Amino acid sequence: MSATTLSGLASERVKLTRTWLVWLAILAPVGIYGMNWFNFDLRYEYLFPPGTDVWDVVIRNFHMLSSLALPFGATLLAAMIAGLEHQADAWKQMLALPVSRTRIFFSKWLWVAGLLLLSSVLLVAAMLVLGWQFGFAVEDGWRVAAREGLLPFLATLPLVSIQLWLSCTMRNQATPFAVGLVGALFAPPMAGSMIGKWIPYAYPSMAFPSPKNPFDPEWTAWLGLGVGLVTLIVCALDFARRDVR
Amino acid sequence: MNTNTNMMIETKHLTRRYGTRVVVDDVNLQVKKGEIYGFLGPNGAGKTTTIRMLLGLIRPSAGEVLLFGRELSRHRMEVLGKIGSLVESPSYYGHLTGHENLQTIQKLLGLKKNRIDEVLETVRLTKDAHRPVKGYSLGMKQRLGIAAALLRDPEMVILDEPTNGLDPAGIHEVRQLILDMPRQHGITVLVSSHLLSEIDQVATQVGIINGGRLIFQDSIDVLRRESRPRLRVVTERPGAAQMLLRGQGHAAEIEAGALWLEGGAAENIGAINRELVLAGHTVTRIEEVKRSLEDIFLDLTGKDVSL
Repeated sequence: MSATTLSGLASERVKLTRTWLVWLAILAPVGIYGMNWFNFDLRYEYLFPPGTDVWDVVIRNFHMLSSLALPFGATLLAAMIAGLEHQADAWKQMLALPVSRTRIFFSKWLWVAGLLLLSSVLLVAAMLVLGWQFGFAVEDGWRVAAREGLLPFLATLPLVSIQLWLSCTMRNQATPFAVGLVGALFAPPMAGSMIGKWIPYAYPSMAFPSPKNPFDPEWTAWLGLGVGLVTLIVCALDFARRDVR
Repeated sequence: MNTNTNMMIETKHLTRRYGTRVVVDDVNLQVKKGEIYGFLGPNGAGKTTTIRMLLGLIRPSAGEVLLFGRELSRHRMEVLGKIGSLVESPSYYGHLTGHENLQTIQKLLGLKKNRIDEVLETVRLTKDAHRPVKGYSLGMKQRLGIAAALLRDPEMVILDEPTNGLDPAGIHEVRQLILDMPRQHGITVLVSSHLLSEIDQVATQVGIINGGRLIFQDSIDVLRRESRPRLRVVTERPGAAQMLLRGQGHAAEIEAGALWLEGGAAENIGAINRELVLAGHTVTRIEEVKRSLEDIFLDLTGKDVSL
């Protein structure tokens, strides 16, 4: 990473002082952990009959929530990071500085992606801790848990680019929110159809490492990474050539 | 490279259209080193659009911007590095302190940390540096904006309506800061306003824009010369008096029942009076009528609206 990218990240970090963003990234996996604790506790016999692959059940139950939380998280974090600038009326000040505009977009993208990665890492820990609390062997589970942390994260990257672009270019955050929520809710059911792989909003739901997953999670993750980087470049270039209000 | 290195800002046929509406029309600005250039025009005349083009925030539909003799479109990073700007309403992160607000720029540009304290001192915000900006008055926010513009020690500062919405004390402080820039730091200033009185008190050069067109550009002294007083003479028989004075070579006009003599006539009030009296006219009143800059501005813009 070049010095300018690092200074962009440092500048963004100052802006996040006293905001909820980092807390959001920490609390989301904690919330998912808490809900699954109830879930496992209430229906233990139903979820884990003798002879089941317990870790597969754990990651699939976590994935049910995280496949929604990741697109929501991307939507929310992008809207909050862009919203700081809209609220501050700061675009005109920042973009008149001798800094490449694509780099400014890139710094924000790295923050959203980085916070989602933090959430995903915490989610891996949450899965392992909860499994351990219910007496499952961590040495059998950490591999699949780590994959459940990483693969859906990579599959979410296209949404980071798209949502950040929407939130940065629109002053009113209602539209980006609507796109993010509708996408996260309605795309996954369409994943099975032919057009599923053309809708990035369906990727996070398709990327869980389980024998019960009809899609190839690794392939979906690579697709997410590829589409994520391409959309990042396209969105950053469009952001750079726009008029600034 | 441009040969004239003294020219800080030069626009050539700068034009911006929104659809078919021409907001900035063939504007040729020229701002020289060390000047305080007052960019004057009524609201909606194209000031902000022009300034946004100067800063590369929006692209011209036609024409080009030269900053320090170099094309902005090709050398954006290099020329913007020497410019500080404040565009319209102040930009500030309300949840951050004044110091942290400046930190976001200091870190982004990799500037020295102590510059923050220096510019806060310049705009007299040292005392409030560690308070959240949402508690600042508008004047303080505007001064913070000026501090942000000064942060990278620019050669030129572009300020768009810096006194808009400020109370008299705030206006005075900002004006003082603007006046100090060329004197103490050698900074060239372009400052826009819709208030002539604002520009009159700080500017050395003036550009007046109206309806997207630059209708006047010269030193403030030239604008002031336009305001030379006219002579108003009231007599009982203005028609005959006009004939007499015209015979003497004075350009006398009758307006609203009184005689009006242009410019230079004011210097020979005594002589004119004597001529009239000797010819048997009863002179009831002679007065100098000064045209205010406001009148000239209204003449130039052809607008009767208040500024």
